[in-house]
Amino acid sequence: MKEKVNISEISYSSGKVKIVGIGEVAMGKDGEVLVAISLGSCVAVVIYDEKRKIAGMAHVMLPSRSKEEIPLERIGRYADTAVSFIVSSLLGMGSKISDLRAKIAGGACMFKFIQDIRPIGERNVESVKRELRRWNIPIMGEDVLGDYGRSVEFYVGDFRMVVKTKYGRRVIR
Amino acid sequence: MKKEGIKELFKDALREIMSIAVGKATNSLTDFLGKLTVLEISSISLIKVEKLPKLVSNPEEVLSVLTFRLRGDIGGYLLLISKTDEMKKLAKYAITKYLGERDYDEEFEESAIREIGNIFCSSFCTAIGEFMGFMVRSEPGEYSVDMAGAVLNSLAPIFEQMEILYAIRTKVKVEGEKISMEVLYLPDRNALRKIARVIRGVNR
Repeated sequence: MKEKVNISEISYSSGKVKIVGIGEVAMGKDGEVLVAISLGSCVAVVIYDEKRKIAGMAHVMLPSRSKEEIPLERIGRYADTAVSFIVSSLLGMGSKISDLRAKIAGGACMFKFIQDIRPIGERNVESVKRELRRWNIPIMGEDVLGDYGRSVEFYVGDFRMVVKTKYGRRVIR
Repeated sequence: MKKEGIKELFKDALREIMSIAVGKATNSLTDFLGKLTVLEISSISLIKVEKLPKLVSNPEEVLSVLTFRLRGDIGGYLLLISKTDEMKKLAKYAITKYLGERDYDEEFEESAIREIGNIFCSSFCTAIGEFMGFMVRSEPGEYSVDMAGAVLNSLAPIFEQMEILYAIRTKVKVEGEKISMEVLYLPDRNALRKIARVIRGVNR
């Protein structure tokens, strides 16, 4: 469903909003909104627990880490470490794997000239999906690939993902 | 000289190179458009790769962005960012100058915008090449009308290994008009290394 409304329901400066920058991870609870602004090739992956109304969002920049050891602050940068980190955090907060669900958005290819390798956005999406499969976490909704930017809001209370693009606003329920 | 002093000297040199290159590109643009374009003083920010989208004041704002990959001795990316209506006005100047008053469609307008970018970027590369003694060339640019932050977001993985980026920027304005274009150069690691060697007087 695409609505021709290009405004947000929330103010990004509100205390209930957590902005998740490139390579960052944030956890949220009922009433909070996790936001990733202006994704290009990056992917926002949200893993949430419907029973406990808790969630985590990562703003993934690359499919996988190049080194085995990475500093903690870069854990959200790579699909493999980001998904594991969110899952571990949710388990630590009392979730069970069987209660976890995911929604993802992003992974665009904004430049046609970078065609000497497979587009990074496509590889990011593929890697995030692979990691979610590895944990047996079903993807309940997605808005991925294409050639346009996206901003993503995830409402932890009702698990809505709102994707804003230059074309309008799409709600993934 | 202390490390901080060297860093400041390096930044001054980068600013100077940017001013020379954009100065030459601005002259070419003036010739091409038949409108006097002027540039502002360059500035440099050192930013973490994760903060790339914050180089624009509102990353969600839909703007016109021309992106060029530079290759040769000096690599990196050159971006020309402007409000879309202002970019369209530049295209109109060029079309009117060469073809007179006429109707044109979006495709024609877009190709004029790309041409403006190509002229600007190739002059930029020539100026750096002449000034530094390097061979610099650009690939055909990418034109996006989208969230400017998303374009910058897509450059972040390319610079992943650098961690800290030098963002050198300036603004080009059409004199007497409300038209401006942000010029942003993101040199890659190799470019920074080569420029540093030239500044230190080491062989190229």
